[in-house]
Amino acid sequence: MPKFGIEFVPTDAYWKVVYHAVQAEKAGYDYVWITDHFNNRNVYVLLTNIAIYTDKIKFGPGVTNPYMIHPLMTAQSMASLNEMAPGRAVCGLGTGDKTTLDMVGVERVKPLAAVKETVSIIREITAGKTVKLEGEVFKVAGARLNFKPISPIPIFIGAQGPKMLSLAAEIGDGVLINASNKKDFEDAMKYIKEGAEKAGKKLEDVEVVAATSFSAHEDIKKAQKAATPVVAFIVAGSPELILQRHNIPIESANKIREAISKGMFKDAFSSVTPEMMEAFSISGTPAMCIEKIDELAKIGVTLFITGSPIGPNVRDSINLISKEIIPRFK
Amino acid sequence: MDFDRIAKEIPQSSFEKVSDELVKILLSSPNTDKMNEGLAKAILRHWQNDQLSLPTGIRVLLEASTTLEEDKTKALLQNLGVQV
Repeated sequence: MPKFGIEFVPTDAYWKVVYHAVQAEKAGYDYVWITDHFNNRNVYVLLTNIAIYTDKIKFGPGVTNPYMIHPLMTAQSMASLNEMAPGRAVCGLGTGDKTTLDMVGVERVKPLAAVKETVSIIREITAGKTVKLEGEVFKVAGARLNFKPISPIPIFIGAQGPKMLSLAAEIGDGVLINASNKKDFEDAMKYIKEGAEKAGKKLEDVEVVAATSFSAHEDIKKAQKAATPVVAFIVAGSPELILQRHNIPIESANKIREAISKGMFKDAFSSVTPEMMEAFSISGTPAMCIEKIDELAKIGVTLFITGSPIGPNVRDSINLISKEIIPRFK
Repeated sequence: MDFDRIAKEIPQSSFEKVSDELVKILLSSPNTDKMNEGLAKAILRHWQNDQLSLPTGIRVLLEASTTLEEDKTKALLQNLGVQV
């Protein structure tokens, strides 16, 4: 049976996000993830508050980017959170998010090496060891914490391409895939198996995480209306390979890209087709969502994240998910 | 506004509903810059301990809701027959 996680983008005031995180804990969720972008509220401020106001839910950045935040700083933040809430802090990391990197002017060099080195630095530092590393991306002359970290911190790695999927399964505790459709996971599973085997791990030792664009409401139209803007942005940011996998004509995607780039959001959103909704979101009535979650679980997804928008009204949708969806899988 | 008096005048049978409505007002309010530090912490502490439907929780929600959305809060209370 899959575990459940929820993801929040901290564009709202901190107390609203924390309110929803507490609600998620009461609703039966196992994990809460906070996205990490320099232009939103700081992820660790939010996570600290979540640690304070919750009692059992696991939490972490979903995901932090080592090109933006040095792995030593991530290791320090994670060790501090795990001291506050032992066994509840988890670390999501990923080297994607080209839009943010471009905005800041940071180059995405050697992402596989960056992930490998980041995992190594975080693992060593949070084990209380001294890190000396002459890596391809990171160089650490000799660094360690001045306090004793409490326990190992699970690391989830965001992955999309075959090499990153395989590496994530090989060195991570979980593979985090930003996708909502079974086709994406059918394809990903073979690389995840390959990576796990390489490390001599069983597939069950690796959490396979579906970070979905999710929207639940009793009224299908309302659920899908809420998810449409998110799907438009996903289509606009999807590489050709992904669009082809879902039989989405490149011209249709280009039309949405162009409208978004010109700030014509109404045009972009009205160009989203039912095929795009199906490919890039799980949106609909609870029964429809249950069917999709079930499909993903059968393929091998072990942790299911309800990501943005969650529903037309976040509070109501968490209540609905808590009543109608999570109990079906517990 | 005398929040202690108002919280006492709300019938116990309406606590759940009033608490729910006040939370709704707060979460949908765009006036988040008006929220003060102490009230935000008090709301979260009460929420963590399932106390937002208790008189002390309603008192805190009332004060926050009035600070962020005075007209909506007054309308809610008037619907309940509570004098503000």
